Amino acid sequence: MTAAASTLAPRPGFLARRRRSYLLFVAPALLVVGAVIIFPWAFTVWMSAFDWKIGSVAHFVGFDNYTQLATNKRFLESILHTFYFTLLAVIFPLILGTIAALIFHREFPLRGMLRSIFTMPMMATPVAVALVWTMMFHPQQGVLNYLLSLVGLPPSLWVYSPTWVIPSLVLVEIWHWTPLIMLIVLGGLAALPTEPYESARLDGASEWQLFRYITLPLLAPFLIVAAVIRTIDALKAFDTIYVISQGGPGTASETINLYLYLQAFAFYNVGNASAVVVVFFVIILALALLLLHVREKAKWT
Amino acid sequence: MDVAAGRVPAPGATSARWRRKLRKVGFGFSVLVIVSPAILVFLWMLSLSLKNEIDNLAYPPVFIPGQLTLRNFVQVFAENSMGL
Repeated sequence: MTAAASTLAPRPGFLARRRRSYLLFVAPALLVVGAVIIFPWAFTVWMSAFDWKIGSVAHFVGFDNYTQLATNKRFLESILHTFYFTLLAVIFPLILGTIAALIFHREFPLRGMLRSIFTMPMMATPVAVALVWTMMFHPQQGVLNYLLSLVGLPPSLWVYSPTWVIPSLVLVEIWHWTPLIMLIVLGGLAALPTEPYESARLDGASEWQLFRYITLPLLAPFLIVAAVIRTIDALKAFDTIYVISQGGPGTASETINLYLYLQAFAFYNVGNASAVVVVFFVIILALALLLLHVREKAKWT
Repeated sequence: MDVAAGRVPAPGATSARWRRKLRKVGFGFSVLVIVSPAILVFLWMLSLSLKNEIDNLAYPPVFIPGQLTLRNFVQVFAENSMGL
């Protein structure tokens, strides 16, 4: 015993050597993270302090880009559009996805096939999906207005109406991403214990009570994860919006992403766009912290 | 339950059976409602790809056109090298 312990005891210089070899292994990752994440990030912050149009000389302006953003009505509206879009694009897929998961959790014929069909939208390419929806949204030749007329509703302008453009875009988002929520919640349902249900049934609980007081609380961690994923995706949403409405009509569906893209790649205001990036990053960070906080609270105890 | 009630099922038993059947139909309907948007958009995509341009602009829309065509697919492969 004692002999073994003495051979295992650290020799002088052992720890120092170990630390040196650790550094060697960490170095490649450090290099990659520095080059791919830290440097672009620092460069963006640095650029946001300049008035720089591509092709002209950059002037240092300090915080001017930020103060301009604070009074820029178009930018402030784009923040509101982003939040509006995100709110709708998180809530509806969550509700519909949970309902779909509850349905697919039951046994019924052809369940596997129908489930695969239901998850098909998720596998489709966003731009292709957006193109098909653009055609379906068309006020004169679109299928959606035809379907509305079949059930006796007046035709809608869909993405050509400033008030309906964001809900219409959210409709595409719902169609596209509800299956993902369904899969997450379905996984959660499969992991639930059966004992609480048995005892609750013995106590004479109704189906709704079973859902409200057992399924929902036990499912909460999964729903939070789904909400986090959805929130991040909805904040990042660019492709569908860009293909379907290009931020229009006017600027009615211009989210921060769209505004950013236009500033940087249509108007070449790199300095201004960098300031937008920094502000956007702060917003995302704040939201992520909020969601993490909620997640901590919703953990199983 | 039927055995206990004898040959003629009690009225309560039939209504229970009806309710069960109704619930099954309702469940089937909800499955249909939740799956149909997913499948219909893809079918519409397929339909658009197999139609002539003139049929795509038709109103009311034609789901299954009288004249199917593969010209769109031929055109895609003819106009793009597709990395081949």
